[in-house]
Amino acid sequence: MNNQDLISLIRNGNERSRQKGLTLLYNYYPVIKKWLVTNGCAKEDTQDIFQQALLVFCEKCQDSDFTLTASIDTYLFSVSKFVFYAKTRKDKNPSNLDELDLVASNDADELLQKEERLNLASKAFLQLGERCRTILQLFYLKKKSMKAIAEQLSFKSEKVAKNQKYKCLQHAKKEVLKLEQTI
Amino acid sequence: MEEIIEQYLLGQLSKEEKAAFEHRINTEPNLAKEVKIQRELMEAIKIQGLKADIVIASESYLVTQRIKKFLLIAVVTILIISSILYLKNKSNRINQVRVIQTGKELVFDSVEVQSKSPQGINLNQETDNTSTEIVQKSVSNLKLRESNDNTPKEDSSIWHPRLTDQRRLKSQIIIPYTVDSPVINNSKTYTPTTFAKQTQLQNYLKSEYPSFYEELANDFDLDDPTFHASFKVNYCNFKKTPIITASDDEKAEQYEIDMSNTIIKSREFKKFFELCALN
Repeated sequence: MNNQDLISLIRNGNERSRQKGLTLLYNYYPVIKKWLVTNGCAKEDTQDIFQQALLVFCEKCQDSDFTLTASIDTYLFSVSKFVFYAKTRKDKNPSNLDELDLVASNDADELLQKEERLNLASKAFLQLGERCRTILQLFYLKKKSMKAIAEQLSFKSEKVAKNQKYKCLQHAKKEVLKLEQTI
Repeated sequence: MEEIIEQYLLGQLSKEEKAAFEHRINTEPNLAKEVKIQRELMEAIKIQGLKADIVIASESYLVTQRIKKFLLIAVVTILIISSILYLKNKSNRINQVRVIQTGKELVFDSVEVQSKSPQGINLNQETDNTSTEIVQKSVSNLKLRESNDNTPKEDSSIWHPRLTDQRRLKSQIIIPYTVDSPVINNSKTYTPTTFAKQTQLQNYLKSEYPSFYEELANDFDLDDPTFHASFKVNYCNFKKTPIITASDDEKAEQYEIDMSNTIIKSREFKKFFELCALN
């Protein structure tokens, strides 16, 4: 499977194809883990770093303009390297970066900043009940119609599902405001 | 309001609607904040969803890795156990017993222990008496059998006794052993064959060939039950010679019959064959 096929699998809104793509991407994990460990990363952190790199890749895949100049494993390796440096604050801006490293580090930095920015929203979302989280994810991430969501989650009607989604979103917004006040 | 914010964030508004809504955002700080919160929430939902998918992928990867590891361990374990069993079995086969029969003595110049046997023998005892007993016991109980895959030499044969003792045995052990050689009976006895009395043949010879009958009667006891006469025709240089072969349990003789007075010889031959065959 070439780069573009894998990107298509991830980009595709279909949950199964994304899972398949992610499982394939996990095959690069052992090599990256080895590098991380030899460079002083704790074994327990290697998985977190690699998952962060995957997240960066998946985020970039959503962008229709995203094109890879190198292979996916090289890209993932560069992102993992940057995430590792960023996490350890060891050498956030190493001098010996090539072009791909720069691209990957920018992408990773972007996501890290985004995560920081979305910190409150993420917390608010995670404080929601499971059913609420599922409705919102099905609608915003998996781009399912309200009719499909109503069928999947056994709501009486599409209208009931829509109403439930509205309530969940309102609840999340209130949580964000509450968290903002605590800060 | 929620609906229009969502439509705006999902890019579902027309150009005019979008421009009007953006104008409102710029002029209404509360709306701007609400839009910001909802945007961040939508992005957070996406990221959290992706993270969940990544975690699922990592779990399936780890499960696959564990299964592979387990299979590898299982295969290695099986290989180790098989190797141990093979080597154990091999170590049992210390040597090969080569029994050389020299007079009334068996010489074990090496010993092979094939497997455990409850009726095994301990060849570590080397005193003559015990050894004798051991070998005799092994012969009677364990039934030493001759190997098929080794061609026995003139004065030796290959044996594979089963021993309980797995200890390595000395390279040469001489064990006195009385071989029960098979008894060969040279006094051959013969049971004489009893033939039916060839009365018709004798009567025919007496009437038609009286001189020959007299000669035959002189040479043999015609009443002896072992007496038998048969007829054959010898062919030599296109000449047919009629022969009577007579025998009893002591001797056998051949006589040429003079058939010069016979007109049709072939008919006479036939007659003789019939008379002999009658018995």
